[in-house]
Amino acid sequence: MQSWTLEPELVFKLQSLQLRAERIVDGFITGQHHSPLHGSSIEFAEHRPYSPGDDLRYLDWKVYGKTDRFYVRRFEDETNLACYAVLDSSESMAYAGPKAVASKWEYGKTLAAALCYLALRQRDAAGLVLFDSEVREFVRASNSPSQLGHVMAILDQAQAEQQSQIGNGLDLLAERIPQRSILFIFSDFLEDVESTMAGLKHLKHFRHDVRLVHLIDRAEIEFPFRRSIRFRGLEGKPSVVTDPRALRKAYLEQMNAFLKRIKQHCMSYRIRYELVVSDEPFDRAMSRILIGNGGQVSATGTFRE
Amino acid sequence: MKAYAIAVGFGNVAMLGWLAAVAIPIAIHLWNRRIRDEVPWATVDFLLAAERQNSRRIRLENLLLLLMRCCVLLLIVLAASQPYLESYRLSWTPGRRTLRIFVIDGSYSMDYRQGESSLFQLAKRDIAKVVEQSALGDQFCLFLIADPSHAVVGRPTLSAEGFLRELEYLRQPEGGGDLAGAIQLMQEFLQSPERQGSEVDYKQVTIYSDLGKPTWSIRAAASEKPHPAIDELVELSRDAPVTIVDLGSPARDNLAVVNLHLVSPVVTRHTPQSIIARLQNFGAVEHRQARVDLFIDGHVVQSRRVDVPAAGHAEVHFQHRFDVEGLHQVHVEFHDDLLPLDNHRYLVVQVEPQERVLVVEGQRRAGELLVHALEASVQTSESIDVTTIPAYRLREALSDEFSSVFLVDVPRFSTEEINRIGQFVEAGGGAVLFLGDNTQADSYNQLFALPETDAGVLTTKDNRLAGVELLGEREATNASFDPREYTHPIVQVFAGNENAGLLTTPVFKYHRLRMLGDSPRARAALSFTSGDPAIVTSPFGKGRVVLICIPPYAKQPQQPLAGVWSAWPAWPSFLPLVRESANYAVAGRNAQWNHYVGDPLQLSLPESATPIMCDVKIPAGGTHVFAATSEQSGPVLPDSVSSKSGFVTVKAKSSGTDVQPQEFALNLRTGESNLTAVPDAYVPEAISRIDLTSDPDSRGVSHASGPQSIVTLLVLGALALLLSETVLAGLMGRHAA
Repeated sequence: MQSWTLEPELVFKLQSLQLRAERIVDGFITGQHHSPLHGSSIEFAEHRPYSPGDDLRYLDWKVYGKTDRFYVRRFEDETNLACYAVLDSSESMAYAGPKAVASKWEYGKTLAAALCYLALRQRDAAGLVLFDSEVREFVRASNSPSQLGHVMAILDQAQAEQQSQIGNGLDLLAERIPQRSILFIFSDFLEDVESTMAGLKHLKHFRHDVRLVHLIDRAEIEFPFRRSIRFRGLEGKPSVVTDPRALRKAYLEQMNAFLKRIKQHCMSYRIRYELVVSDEPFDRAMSRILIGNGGQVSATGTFRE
Repeated sequence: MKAYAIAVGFGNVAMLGWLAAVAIPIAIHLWNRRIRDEVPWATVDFLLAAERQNSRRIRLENLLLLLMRCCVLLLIVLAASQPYLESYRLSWTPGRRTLRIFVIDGSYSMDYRQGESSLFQLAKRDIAKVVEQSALGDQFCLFLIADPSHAVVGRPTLSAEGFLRELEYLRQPEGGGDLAGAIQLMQEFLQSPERQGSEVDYKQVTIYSDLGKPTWSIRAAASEKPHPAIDELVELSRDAPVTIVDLGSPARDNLAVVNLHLVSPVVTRHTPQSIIARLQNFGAVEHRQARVDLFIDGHVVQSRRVDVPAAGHAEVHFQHRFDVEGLHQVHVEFHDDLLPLDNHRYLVVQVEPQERVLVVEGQRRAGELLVHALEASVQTSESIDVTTIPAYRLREALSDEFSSVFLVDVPRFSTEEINRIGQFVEAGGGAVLFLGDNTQADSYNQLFALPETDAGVLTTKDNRLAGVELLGEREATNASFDPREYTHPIVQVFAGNENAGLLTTPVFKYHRLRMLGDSPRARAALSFTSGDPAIVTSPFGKGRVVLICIPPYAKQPQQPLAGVWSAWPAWPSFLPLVRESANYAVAGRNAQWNHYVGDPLQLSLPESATPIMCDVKIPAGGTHVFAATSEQSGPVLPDSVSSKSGFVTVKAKSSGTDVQPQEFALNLRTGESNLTAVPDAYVPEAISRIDLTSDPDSRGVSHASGPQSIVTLLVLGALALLLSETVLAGLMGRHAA
């Protein structure tokens, strides 16, 4: 059994997102025997016609000499692995429970940064997408040396404050990613499950490898409140005043039904699904996201291994 | 409807102030509702959905939990207040001194058995329980409804122990119940501050009774009414609330021996005697094959079985021959009854060698036919001894050895003779007076009125020998006897025997009598067809007087034919009428030995004897020494000797010499054998009524729950509620983290 050390309490002491990412990846790689991503490759794969903006270094001058046309060389890594961290930036992601170290948004940003850092470190192309009801930020996947700084800068400045329409956001995203990629979608998916699944189906249609990282706060799956509380709805939803102890059982039933439906839909569409609670050690979360360690969501939303 | 009084008392009333603590859960509930932290919440959709589905259930659960928490506090506070249920003992408040006046119905119907105990014992037990649970400072009194009613603890006592001791010694009397007397005693008690002793804050009367009709109602003009004393009780309840604890069950059957007598009033040796016991069924169910045993001098001699119809009676006939002269105990008993006291009847008979009759003739041969009739009317000539004397020897010859005296046409009486006749009859002798030619009305009227009698000699309240006045002779044409429905014992033998000559007896002349209206004891046994009485009877003391208005002869030889009184002496009705008159007159012969419970027992002793102490064997068992008090009529034993039914044997010790033992039979007055309870309406609403008949075994527990039992119940209830609240709250998710 592996012992996890990258507790959120420790990681979030680092102010810099990049440092956090490095720390996570370092810690994570140390525990692995080989790269979880299928490493970069320099083996030639195919040619494609040159288009403006392509790196001139990959122009195949020999082909130009023979055919008088510009072709760009494409390598195996380029064709098989472009990794996108797709992060839901809606307001609900900003929620942090009473005992949480960080919000789902902060936790998701850190995971996205770590993922990008890992990919770029392995010379794979990494991209970043922030979306809510539309695509707010889109950083095309690239393995250029400046990509990491670009991604980190965007993540640092991003805020979660808009209403979300996940399905719509994913639809728009599907149109903007040209090549087959691995998409890690970080979201709480607090949305109509059917419209979310429609967006995911759209992505699958383009043969992307879609992997859902369902971020959830521990308070949302345990509902630990006692006194009468006014629950202020986020993203324009109404408020509820209730006795949490009286409503806890019924609430948890609703929550578990929701989690179960998402998981069932993912299974039916062959989408990898991982439920990550925002107080989970990052290295374990990374492991589950990238490899899948058999961690399952229990009926109450807690993990067991 | 019966009124029930149930009240709650508290041993620590100050603790009730903590009842305000019941408001704490309510305050907490409201406080919790008021504090509203606000948190942002992402999954508010799920909350809304959950609330939509469960809002009503949550409200109900909250209310239920609130109620349970309030009840827990309520029960704990109540338990700490040491409450107890009061039923008939009513409102007791700590710090208030209560005078508890207990009254037990001591009429013998309270001996009715319920389970192992009698109602009287149950009442005592219940009173003991109330006294034991009373507060310090309470005072107790005890009265007994008996005949006569009396105070057992007449002065209030603060000592529960002393009161309980008195209560323990109290025994069931065997008489009736004088309700009016008991209420009068209580009234006098309540109106007399000095008798009540130290001041009390509250008075309370609790009466334990089976509410039997004989005690609680009266018969007036063939209709039944509530006893007037009940109104007095209502008056009394204004000063001290009255509660009646009803111990009688609604339907109680009872069979009683109401009479035991010998057919022949004079019992002679070697003569078969008919003994008749009468059984009365007071219930609504026929009693089949009731076994009745006859005891003579303590030994069973015969047994009979008899069916007694519902609300009817049956007579059991025994035959017995007494071979030894003297006093004998006759006792009948039947078995299997829930009121054992009235299953017995006792009789003392004096067996004599012969029936001794004194015939006093006012003129020679005036009683000749009478003597023939007397001798002919007995089974054997040896069984009767008739002594005939002239009138002037009356005073010296009339002694108690004679069972009866027949005065035939005695002209007049001296004062001494009047006194002697009065004493003879009062002591149980029979006097039969035949009026005739020589009868002088004024002298007879003196005799009837006993005017010259030394008042000290006679103990009878109505000191007239007979309530009649002699008016003089009256001629009649074709008169005869009128038996007046044959109701009198003397003429009952003629009922159904119209050919026996009674109705056809020719009467030509008779002495006219006037019945005095103020004397209820005088009764016409037989009349003439003219309406004038022919035979008048009157009890006097223990004996009886029979006055016959025609002589036992047709006419005296020296009288002209016109002076014929009647053809009666030659008529078939003569002999039976003489015999029946003689029997009736001497029926009180054994009366001196047979009494009712509570009657004073007077000893029959020679005048020379001066008894001081007596060895008395009493029905309760054992032989005790009693001092006989000397009354004007003779030495009388204390009342306590005659307090129980049964036989009393008295051996009086005169100075130096023992006299012959005397036997007395004491019987119940059987009125209380009727166990029917008065209707509920007889008890006014001003008087609380507790019915303890439905569950007699739990008496003193269910109705007199002690503080401990209720506190235990309350604590258990609070614990059960706490447990339920915890479980319920857990099920409702209130305690889960």
